[in-house]
Amino acid sequence: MDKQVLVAELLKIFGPDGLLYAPEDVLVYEYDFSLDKNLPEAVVFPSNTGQLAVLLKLAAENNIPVTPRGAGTGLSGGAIAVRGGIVVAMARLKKLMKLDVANRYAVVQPGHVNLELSTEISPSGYFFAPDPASQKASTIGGNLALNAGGPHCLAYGTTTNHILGLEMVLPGGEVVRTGSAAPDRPGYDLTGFIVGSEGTLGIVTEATVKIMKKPEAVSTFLALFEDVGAASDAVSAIIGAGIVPAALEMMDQLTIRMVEEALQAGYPPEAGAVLLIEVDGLKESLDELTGTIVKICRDNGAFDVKSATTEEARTKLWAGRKGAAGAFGRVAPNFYLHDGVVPRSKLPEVLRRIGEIGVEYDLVIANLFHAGDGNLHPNIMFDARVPGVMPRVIEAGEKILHLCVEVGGTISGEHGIGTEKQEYMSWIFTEEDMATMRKVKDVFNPAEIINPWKVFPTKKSCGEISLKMRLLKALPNMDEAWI
Amino acid sequence: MIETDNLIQDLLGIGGEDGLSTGQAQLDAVALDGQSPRAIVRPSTAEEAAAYLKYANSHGLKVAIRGGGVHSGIGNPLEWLDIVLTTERMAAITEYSPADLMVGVQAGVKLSDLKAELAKNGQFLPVEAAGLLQGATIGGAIASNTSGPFRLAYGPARDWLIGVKFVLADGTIAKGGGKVVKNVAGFDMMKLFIGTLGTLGLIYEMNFKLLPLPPLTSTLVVAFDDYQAACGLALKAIDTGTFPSALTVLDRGAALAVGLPDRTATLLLEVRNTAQALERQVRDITGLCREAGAAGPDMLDGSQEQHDLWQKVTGFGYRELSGQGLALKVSTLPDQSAALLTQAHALADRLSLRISLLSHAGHGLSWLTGSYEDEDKALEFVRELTSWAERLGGSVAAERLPLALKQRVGDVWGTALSEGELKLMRGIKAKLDPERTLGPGRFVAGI
Repeated sequence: MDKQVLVAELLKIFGPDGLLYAPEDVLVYEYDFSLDKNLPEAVVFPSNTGQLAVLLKLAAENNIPVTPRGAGTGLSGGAIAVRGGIVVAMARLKKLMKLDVANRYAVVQPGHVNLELSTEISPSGYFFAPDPASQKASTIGGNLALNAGGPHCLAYGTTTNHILGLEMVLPGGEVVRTGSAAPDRPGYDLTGFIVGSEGTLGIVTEATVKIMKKPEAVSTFLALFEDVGAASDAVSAIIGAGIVPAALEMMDQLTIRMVEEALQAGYPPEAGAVLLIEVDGLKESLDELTGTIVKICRDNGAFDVKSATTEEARTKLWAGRKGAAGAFGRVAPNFYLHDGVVPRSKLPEVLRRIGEIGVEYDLVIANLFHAGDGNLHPNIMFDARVPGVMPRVIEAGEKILHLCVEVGGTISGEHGIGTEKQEYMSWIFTEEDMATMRKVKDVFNPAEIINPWKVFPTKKSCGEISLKMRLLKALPNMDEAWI
Repeated sequence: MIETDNLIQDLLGIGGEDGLSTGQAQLDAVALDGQSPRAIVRPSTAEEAAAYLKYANSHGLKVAIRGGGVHSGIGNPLEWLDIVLTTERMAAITEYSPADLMVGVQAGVKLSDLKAELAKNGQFLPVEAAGLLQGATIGGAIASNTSGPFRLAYGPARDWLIGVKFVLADGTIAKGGGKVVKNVAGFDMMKLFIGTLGTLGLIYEMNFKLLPLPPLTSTLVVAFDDYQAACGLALKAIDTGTFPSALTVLDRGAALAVGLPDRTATLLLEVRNTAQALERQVRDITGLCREAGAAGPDMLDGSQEQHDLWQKVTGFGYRELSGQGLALKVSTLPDQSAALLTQAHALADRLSLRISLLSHAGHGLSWLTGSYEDEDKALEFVRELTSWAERLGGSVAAERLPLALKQRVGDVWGTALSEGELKLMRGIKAKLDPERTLGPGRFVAGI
């Protein structure tokens, strides 16, 4: 469709306040926190489901690609309009529609910011458990599209465990509601299948989410180790002893130093590695649980343990952890953040081998990650202006991910596949696996009107849209990314 | 039906004699909805299963998948049945890594065996199913998406399933997920396959997350004169932060069925924790009982005693129905449990059914068993209760009905689903099993 005609049509649906189409206006919608970018023709801001239904009818009839976007904090390119077309920014669909404390659920629009939901319902004594590090900015819609994780997934499960029902608009404009606040709606679990599909099946316009009673007490502490090897032994020992803390995070020395310089969060720079551990529950249970974990840490080489004795100290420790990625920008102008997962018992071996990969490729790699889940976030630090560095960065990253797969793990624990890892899907899935997934996708979005060219490998002939090629072209500033 | 003169020879060619049963008594023992199959096949590998399914699919034969047979009767009447495929020879624990809190199992593993194996390492899988002692398999539990009282603490079974391998009707062998606890690569095929009752494919292998067994547990039994008070206390126990792991309200019949005293309403609560915290939970709940003017609570501390009671509660919906009996699974919002108990009993009184009802008042699933003399009235009961639940945003699944009643009910899952949802579900079925080889007619709306 001719751009002028398109703009006229979009104006009819969204009005002048709900539409951007000048190149300089849509420029900031060309990227997210992945390494990818592409310019859309227009950005629309729906304020109700009806507008989206009309848009998707128009899009289907004219084969215009439509890409939904939350806060744009995604790390795998899910919000990038790789085929151009229209970006649907969900910023105005951000209301809390309903809070039912007795039945422990809330109904929210997808643009609702994650942390604001917990803040808003806090007086009721309940909270929304998924807590990706981006939670100050990222939206529930983005969280559920990516099945977001976060430090407390260890105990509470990932986003999918907390989504009970959805309203979604399909290509063509049909609005369908799935799931329900009451358990076990009959039929196939459409809600469960849609969550984590990276916005490639339809556009979610409302979510019914589970809320949980806040724990009565929390104990947060740091265990200090000489090196990541000892710290990862401790992680394996804690899980192996049958203890599942609320959160169990690791940072290596480089990360600790950067976080301290940037945020003064209370991390000891002398430690070679720290574990940030949190347990929650009734106050009577915390002393015993904390004591057991501390003993395991000491048995595995922890030389000190520091407890956050005040709420302020606890908040600072978490601010350091969740703001860590931002601190990387102080050390190197660019970093490439990975998201592999390994069986927890393999952590010591895998971290050692990641160190070797860094040496082999002459790259600095910092580690901060969800150790309790085996979810690694190696960050390759570099300066893209140095000639010849990019191929090394990409190859080292591939080697790390491949290592995760070799030991029985996977290529993404929480960031998603998007455009970033679609070519790696064949490392873990056969043609039959992916063909089956695609068949189900075709039921929802057969012509790929919504969020095209994501998740699955592109055809070899489309080499020009592979991540590697685009990566070599340009890199956005990553200073404010969250992990 | 397409004639297959060589059916037996062809099936023998795929899996040999060990993989085939054709004795009439054996065939009759696995009959579904009054239909005995022409053969039972017992694949020992995914490849063999794929060969059987591919054969059936290309010859227009209809297949039902069977684990322990405990949940095989759930669903609408099968349109046709040629072959029953059982998972009994695919019953290995493929990988158990206690240090990773992860287990991989084949579909035919019996839940009781798995439970025993995991307990050796002080671990458990929070997947609950009726029929544990009657041979329920893990494949059957996942295929029928079973739940029990401890769903309050651990969520539904789907939260623990991290990897799934399956065979489609055309013989395609595929998978989703993996064996690590966080994994967003590819679509969530685990969610797609859970609760599908074998209508999309054969789930032949699964990976699960595990948990350590709780250090200590206590079970409290509180008697009430009315449903409202019992259910009210249950919700209050959650809202005041006593963190119960299970909350179950039983009417008179259900209490008797699980061996508890004859009371109008009984609330069972379970708490699990370390010693000091457990003591505090029990104290707080006792305080709530006093405030509510309830006697007790009676405490069960012996672990065997508690275990046996909760096992009976979990198994409540399952019984060998003889004659004119029914079992319904009812879904409501948690704060509708008391209304459900009242409504169901009022309906049963009017329509002369004898019913027992057990409601997991914390998570909203309830099981109702009943017997009747007049089929017309039983039909009216199912229909009225279903429309009552649906009006409140819930649903009823008539899980066990005599065939005559099942055939009259229409859809055993009622009419809760919208056309939009059904269109997607029919679309998924048409993509993955276009010939309708697997359990035709059994699923919602005759899928």
